[in-house]
Order: sequence, then C-alpha cells, then structure tokens
Amino acid sequence: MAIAVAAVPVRALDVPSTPSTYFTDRAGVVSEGDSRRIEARLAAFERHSGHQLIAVLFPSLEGEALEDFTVRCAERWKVGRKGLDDGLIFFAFLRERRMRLEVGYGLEERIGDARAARLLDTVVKPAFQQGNYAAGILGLADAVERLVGGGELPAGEEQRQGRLPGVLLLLVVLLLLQVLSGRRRSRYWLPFGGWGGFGGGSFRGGGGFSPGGGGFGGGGASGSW
Amino acid sequence: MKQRGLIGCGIVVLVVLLIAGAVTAGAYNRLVTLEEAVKTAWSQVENVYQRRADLIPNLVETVKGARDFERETLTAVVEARAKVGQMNFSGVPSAEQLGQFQKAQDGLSSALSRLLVVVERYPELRATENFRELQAQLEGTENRIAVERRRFNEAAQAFNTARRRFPTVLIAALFGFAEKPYFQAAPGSERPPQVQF
Repeated sequence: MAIAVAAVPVRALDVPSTPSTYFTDRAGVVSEGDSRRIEARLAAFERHSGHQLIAVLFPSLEGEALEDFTVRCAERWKVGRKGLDDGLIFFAFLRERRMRLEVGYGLEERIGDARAARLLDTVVKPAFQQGNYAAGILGLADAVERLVGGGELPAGEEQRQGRLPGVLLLLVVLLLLQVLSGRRRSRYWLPFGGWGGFGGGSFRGGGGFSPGGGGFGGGGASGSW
Repeated sequence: MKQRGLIGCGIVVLVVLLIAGAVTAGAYNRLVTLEEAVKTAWSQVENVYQRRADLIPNLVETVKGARDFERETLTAVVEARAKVGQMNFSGVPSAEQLGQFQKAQDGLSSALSRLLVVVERYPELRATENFRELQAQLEGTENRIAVERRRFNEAAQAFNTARRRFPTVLIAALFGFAEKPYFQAAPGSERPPQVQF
C-alpha cells in the first residue's frame, strides 16, 4: 500500500483492488468474530436476493473528496450483476467520520437518494456513534433487505447464461487444438480443473465475494456520524 | 517476361490497396465506436441535468410555503431554471454550445447553492420531512452530474486521442469527424482533472 501511494504522488488514496470478501475492515476496528458475522450476513443477502452488498471500512479519506473516491471504487469493483446493476457498497472513513452508500443504477428506484440518506441517518449513524461498527453494518443489511424485498428483479441466472457460450467456445477450440496436435502428447492436458473457480463462484457457499459486473452512476447518499 | 512483371506489379498494387483499405476501415470503425461512446455519455449528462431541473418546481413550492422567504433567491432559481430549459441540442454539442450549456447549468448550480445557504436561516423549513428529502435528492443529483460529466470528458478524451493519432487523423479529416469538446472544471473546484491510463 505504501509503495503504491509513493508511486502515484498525485493521489493521496488509491482505489484498492476489488475486495475478495463481502466485508473488508481496512481500519482494523471490528473484531474477528464480528467480521465473520458481517461476512456471513452479507453473503446470505446475496444468496437470498441476488443483490450484492459489500462493506468496506477505511482508516481515512486522506484528503480525497468522498463521493469522487467512492464512485471511482464503485466503477472499478463492479459490484452487482451485469445488466441489472443491482449492487450496493457501503463505505466508512473512520478518521473523518464520514460514510457513503453507493447504490447501483438498478436499485435507484427502490433505494432513492433520500431513502439512502435516511438509512444512514437512522440505522448506521446511531450505532457508529457508539463505536459499534458491526451493529451499524448489520443493521444496514437488514434495512436494505427490507427495502429491496426479495427477488422481484430476476434472480441469479443472467450472468451465467451470458458466460456459457464463451466457455463452450474455448473448450471447443481447445478440443480442436488437441485433435490437431495429434495424440502423441499426453491426453489429459486440457485444464478442466481450472474451470471450477469461475462462473457462479459467488453463489457457492463460503467462497468469498466475487463481483458480477454491475454499474454505478453516483446514486446513493453520504452521511457522517 | 514483360507480362509477368506487369502481373507482379498488379499484385503488389492490389496488396497495398487491400492493406490501405483495411487500415481505413479499421480506423473508421474505431472512430465510430468511440464517437458512439461519447454520444451515450452525453445523453447521460443530459439525463442527470434534466433530473435536477425536474426537482426544482417541487423545491420552489416547498420553500414558498415558509413564512416570508426571501423572494430574490427564489426568483434567481426560477430564472436560472428557465435558462437551462432553453438549452436544446440534437446530439453532442459543439464546443461553443457546450460552453453555453455549461454556463446556464452552472448558473442554476450557484442559484441553488445560494438558496440552500439562505434556507439555513429558516430552521422550521429545514426540519420538514419534505425539505430534507428534497435536499438529499438535490445532493444526489449534483453527485450524479459530477460523475456523468467526468465520464463524458473521459469518453471525449478517448475519442480525441484516437482521432489525433496517425493515420486515423487522415481518416477523421476525410470523413469529417470533429473534435469533441470538454466540460471545464467549475471555478473554485480544487481537484485537478483526472487522467486515467
């Protein structure tokens, strides 16, 4: 992290690479047990509703403009499903006591800016003021779940259908290559083992978070505590 | 012998023509793709500005309800909103049109922020649910505007960079692809424009 910052002096805080867990505590303020509970809660939210909600705690904004930084994170991380753009990201910056909920294009109707603002104000803020970050995030997950309800947006299948032809095509090409290259080589060099991790990875239990390709347009709300 | 030489020349010419054709087609298609991206980005810009304009009648009604609210600030917002309403282009504007568009929109921005400052003096108005909702929506819209403006500039920059490259610059001139204008950073904004690689 320090090296990355030094290499790009213009930017005080670099957009981190896409988180591999639903909950990331970069500030180190949430206990191990609570982290696991939040992780399980957010993973369950995706399993039930299909929507992806992730939460990231940062120690500081380091002088960045809040909304500018968070939307750049959202653009890079692509939380939510491609085409549905139904992702949500909760950010909090401890030193500045600022937070933001980024709402994907597809959920802007259900969670409008005013609603998002009220959520942060009434659910997250009171818990954060008492230093209970875990309770704030868990409360947010509950409230978001109530707001978006379950599965009125088509759940699940979309992205896998989109990916399948590509994977099939690759397999066909590999098979062809294998046939063309003759049978002198070992018969089992086709990397079947490698495919398990791709595709619906996020739907498998305990696999951590993997983004679906959702888009954001700056919807959501900011708050402080 | 002579005939064979001619055929050889013919093949060389044909190959050169084919390559030139392929290069032209490639560059042309690339410009078209990038220009489409600029158009999409522009319509997003228009959408978010429209979204803000649509909030204003409601805002004006709400604020009017407050007892003896400063008329001037309210009138400024209504007038700025009217000016914005006159901005209508088909497609991506020229540099001059974009300048006018931005001037009108920035006028509305400053009228709105003045209004929000004045509202500070009316605590009972600020406390109403309706006003707080409007304020959250306005803030959200301003944020969306910033996002879409940046995306438009990025799309325009991608197009302009490709357009200035050789040999694409020749194809751009041949088919009349015009350079795309940029939004200028609002005066007083402290952040430098971002270039992403």
